[in-house]
Amino acid sequence: MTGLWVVVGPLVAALVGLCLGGRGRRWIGPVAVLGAVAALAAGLALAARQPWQDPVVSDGLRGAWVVLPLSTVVDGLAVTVALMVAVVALLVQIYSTAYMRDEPRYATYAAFISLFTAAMLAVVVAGDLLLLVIGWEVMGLCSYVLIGQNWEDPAARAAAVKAFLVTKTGDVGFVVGVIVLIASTGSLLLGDAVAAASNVTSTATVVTLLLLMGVVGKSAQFPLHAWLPDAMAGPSPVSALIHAATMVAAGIYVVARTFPMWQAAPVTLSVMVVIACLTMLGAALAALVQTDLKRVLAWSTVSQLAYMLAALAVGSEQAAVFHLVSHAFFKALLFLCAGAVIHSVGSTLMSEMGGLRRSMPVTSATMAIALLSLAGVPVLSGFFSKESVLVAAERAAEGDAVVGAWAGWAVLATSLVTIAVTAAYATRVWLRTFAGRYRGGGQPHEAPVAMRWPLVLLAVPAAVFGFTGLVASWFPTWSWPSATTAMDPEALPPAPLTTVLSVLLVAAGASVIARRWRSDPAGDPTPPDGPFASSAQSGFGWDAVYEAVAVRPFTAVTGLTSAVDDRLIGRTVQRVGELTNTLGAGVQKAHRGLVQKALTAALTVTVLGLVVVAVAVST
Amino acid sequence: MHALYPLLVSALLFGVGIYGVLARRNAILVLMSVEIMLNAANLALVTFDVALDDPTHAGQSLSVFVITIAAAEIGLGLAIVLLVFRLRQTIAVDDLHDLGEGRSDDLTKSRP
Repeated sequence: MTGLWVVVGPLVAALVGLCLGGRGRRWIGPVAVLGAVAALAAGLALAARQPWQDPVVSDGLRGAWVVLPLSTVVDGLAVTVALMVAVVALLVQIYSTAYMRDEPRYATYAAFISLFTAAMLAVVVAGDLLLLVIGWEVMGLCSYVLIGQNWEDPAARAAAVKAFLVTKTGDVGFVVGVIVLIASTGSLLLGDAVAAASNVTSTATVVTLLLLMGVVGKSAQFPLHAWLPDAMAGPSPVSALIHAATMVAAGIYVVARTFPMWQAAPVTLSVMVVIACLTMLGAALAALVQTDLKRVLAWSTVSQLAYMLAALAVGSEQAAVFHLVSHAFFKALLFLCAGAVIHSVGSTLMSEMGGLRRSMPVTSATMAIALLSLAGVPVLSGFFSKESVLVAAERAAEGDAVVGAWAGWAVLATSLVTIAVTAAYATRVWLRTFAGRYRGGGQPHEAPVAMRWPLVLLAVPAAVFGFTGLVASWFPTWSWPSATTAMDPEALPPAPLTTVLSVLLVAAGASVIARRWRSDPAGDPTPPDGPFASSAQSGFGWDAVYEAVAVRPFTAVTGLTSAVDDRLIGRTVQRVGELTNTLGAGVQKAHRGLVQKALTAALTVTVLGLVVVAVAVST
Repeated sequence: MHALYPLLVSALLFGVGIYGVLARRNAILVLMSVEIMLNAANLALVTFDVALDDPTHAGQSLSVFVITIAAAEIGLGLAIVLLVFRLRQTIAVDDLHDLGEGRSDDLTKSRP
């Protein structure tokens, strides 16, 4: 059974949804949900059939006339991530049936969510580089369309264009990297190409550095991170999907998928360590001072993805994938809860929320689980997955990684500081949104059933998924990609020292915010004024760098091109035309339809010509 | 007889024809002038035929062709003049300049 079966369901749902368009409104929701159900069923069928350690490579589709080289690899890693994607996509689709019920463009929205899911699943099961690039690029398109869902809003249009351009900037490197990989190894198959590239350090370094551009763009890491907070202009379920299951997860997944190649390139890993450390702490600080609920969550996604990138850089793809899946559950839950809150309050600003604990009991309970998980409070899944990253960093600090001990220390120190900041902003979100007194003007109400149940269902893995990392035969074995290297049973369970440290830091971060809040329950614990806070709120002014590096040179070049086109080429053409007209008008005067005058002129000229010739001949 | 005399007559006839074609306003007179020019050419052809003692008499043969063509041409030409007169009540060639450029105002003037 080829891995393509998981793609078929959502793809068909997307095509049917796009064909339905505005017609048959009743069928749009069921079709979209069924597509996601089909993906989940196919994922479970693959899971049931695979002996875990052996990857199943299938050759692609061979028909009578066509051979589509869409081969797939189905192993533990692919099935684990595919199941996570299918679960999140299904719950997002169910949630959307209620959240987007009054939306006039619900049909295209649901179809593109399905297409997005299909593209992500294609990346997950991709066994050749062609399928990988196809899925990767289709995701870029879907993110553009979905972020721009409310295109009447100029901010949504700008955010969609920004997301597209920024991720495409990275994708240029990604595609070039794939081409270099194919050219240097001579293989289109992912497994062969990666194995061949892993043996040559120079190839591995060039290819991974190029691929890293795409990964940084898709997974919103520094310096291509700024599209993700702006992408909040899209509807909340879209954010849940982008931030949890698709898009940002794709970057991390591709690195985990091709991990042997990255292990052979210490230079790339060093770059990744720097990027991850900068992004991790910077994004967490930016999240601390945001006033918009969804922007807090967006910056937190950027920060959490940096944990995964750091885990990959210090040599533990197990920890990265563990945190990827656990983060997907609690972050999808956070965004769906935020959607419920926004749906109920009618605003995304936390200054107009507060006290929602009483009016929205289910949402507040599930949001509490998700926030505790995000903060890394023990026994929730976020705690275990974050601990696994710390364990990986600790091992690297002991000299256990390709990249060197300094990287381990850097990741360890930054992660610990970020844990305190994460706890602080998670506490702030809770206190500003659910605790205290309601500050808005509306009548907040609990979310409808179709929105409530996905929250409850997602809260279960967000709370208990972490335990699967403790037993070696559970998550570590399920998600192990292949038999190339031995699986490490001790990689995921927490280590005592880091546990104590991180718990203390969580308590410290949370208590600082809680104390400041208690002195002024109506105010913001981290007011966004002051030089540092206002800079952090705008993402440390990074947009200005884009403006200076990309936008202004580009507009200068386009201005120059336009000027040359208009002034030089355009005016030359115009002048030539005018000259022809002037000459024509001069000649026109001789053509007045008077045959006799014309004949007289012709005769005169002829006679004079003959005379001249005769004179010339005679002399 | 010396060939100069008939050639001189021919040249005079041709000059009269050219003057008529270029100077007369009446279309019928213009056509007649064209006939005079053709006949001047005929006279020259016959003169050269005799003067050069051409055994094939190409000059005489050619002048027979010219006479035939001239008859056909004057038939067509007079028919056109007749139609123009029916349409415009005039056959003054100066007024028939609709195909010319830049004097479209005259077009309506010359119409009945």
